[in-house]
Amino acid sequence: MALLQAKNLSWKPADAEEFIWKDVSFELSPGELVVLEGPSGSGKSTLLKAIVGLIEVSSGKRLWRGDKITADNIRRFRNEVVYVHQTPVAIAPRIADNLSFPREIAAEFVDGAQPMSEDEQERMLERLQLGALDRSRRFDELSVGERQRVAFVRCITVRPQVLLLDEPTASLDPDSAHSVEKCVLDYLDASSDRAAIWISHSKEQRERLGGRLLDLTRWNPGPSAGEYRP
Amino acid sequence: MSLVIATVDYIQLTPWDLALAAVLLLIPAAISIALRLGLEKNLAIASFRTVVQLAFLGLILEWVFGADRWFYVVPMLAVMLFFAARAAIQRSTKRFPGSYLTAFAALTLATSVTTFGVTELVIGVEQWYEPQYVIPLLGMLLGNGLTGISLSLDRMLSDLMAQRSAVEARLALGASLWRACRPWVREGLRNGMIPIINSMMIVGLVSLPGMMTGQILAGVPPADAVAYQILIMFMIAAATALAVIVLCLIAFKVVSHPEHRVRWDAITRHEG
Repeated sequence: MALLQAKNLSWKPADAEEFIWKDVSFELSPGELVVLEGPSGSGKSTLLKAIVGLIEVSSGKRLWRGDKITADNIRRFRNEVVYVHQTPVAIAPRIADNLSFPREIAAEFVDGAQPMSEDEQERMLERLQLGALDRSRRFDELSVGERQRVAFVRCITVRPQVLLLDEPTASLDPDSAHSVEKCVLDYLDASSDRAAIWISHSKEQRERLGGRLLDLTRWNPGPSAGEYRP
Repeated sequence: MSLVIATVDYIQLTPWDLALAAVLLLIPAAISIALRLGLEKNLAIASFRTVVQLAFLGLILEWVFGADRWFYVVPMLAVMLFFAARAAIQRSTKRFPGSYLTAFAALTLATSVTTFGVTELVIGVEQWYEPQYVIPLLGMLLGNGLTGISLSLDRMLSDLMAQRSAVEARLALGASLWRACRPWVREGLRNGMIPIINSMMIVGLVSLPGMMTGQILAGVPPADAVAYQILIMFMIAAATALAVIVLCLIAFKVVSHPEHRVRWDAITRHEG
């Protein structure tokens, strides 16, 4: 059975007349990597945010393992389907708090996945060339590449089944980009029921990643749709 | 505690005395005109407004005190609450649907509990609406409470908007909306409490508080004036905290969506 199903999702900004995307329907199966593409302004980020309910869709529904997502199960859903922001942002001042926060959240779900321990986080940071990081430092003091990698570790700490990746390597130099790519692919390969949707602007990266291509432009109704910047 | 003002031992001021005092203002006005500072116009308007507004208030208070009936006192309190709530929200650059009504409710709850609690249980007034106690106490609580809630509301909603990505990143991990927003709600609450905490920290070290000064000028022994000042400081702290908490929690509730996201479009910007 499909992990995640989108059925006729449509969205337009509150003050707009034209839909940015209309009747988006797709399925994500276990083990699958879907690369989402489309010109900037086609609403790729918005679509991922709408899937996890950070933005309200105008119409349509999302199903998680066949169940409709409601106010009661949305937190658990977000804990299993984690949206990774395009720009890595501090969710707490210090690095240590950024890494402990997801563990605290995961502990709130009684029968949820066991979150990464501090040691496991440390090993993951080492693989991303952040082994020597002083965790008492402020998250904001890191370079954007370092922030993106810490933010990625922060997200996989809750061991999500699905990752919704919003251009996670856009702000990285090629070396860091490769190590993040490898980490994501390793994470997905480690368990056969994991899956991801990955927004990528780079043709080379799309070729490296492989996976199924999903072009959002087929759901962009009008030529004016390309203007909206969230 | 039952304080009785022992003797009314003060020198009454005549209108002539006040006119003489107004001469004091001519000195800065003259300097302002000579140096073209442009302060004289505002100074004149402000002085004029002070005289008119306070004279009007004096008339009303004489009337309400003279009538000594609850149905004179309660409407006066309601008017004070209305203007305080309006001023509080107008000072905030960010608002939410129902912010005026919420500010009115928060101030009414916080200041009524404190004022009537103190007049009944601590001071022990004969009638619950005793205007000599109830009106000035409520006025002092409102002045501080409205500053508190406007600072809190402005800070909380501005911070939430500025930290939208952080709030969403916390939500994206499965946090509840409350958990996701808590640092900034807390920051808002703290911000509203700063003025009263600061004045409690320095009271008596830097200046004599206005109310105490007034009582001493009116002939009250300093020890009694101090007792009243301590009482009022406690009341202000309690009422401000209560008002700020009620307002922030209701504001948070209003901008919350049941599906654990912030209703960003419910937060509106205004000129402060």
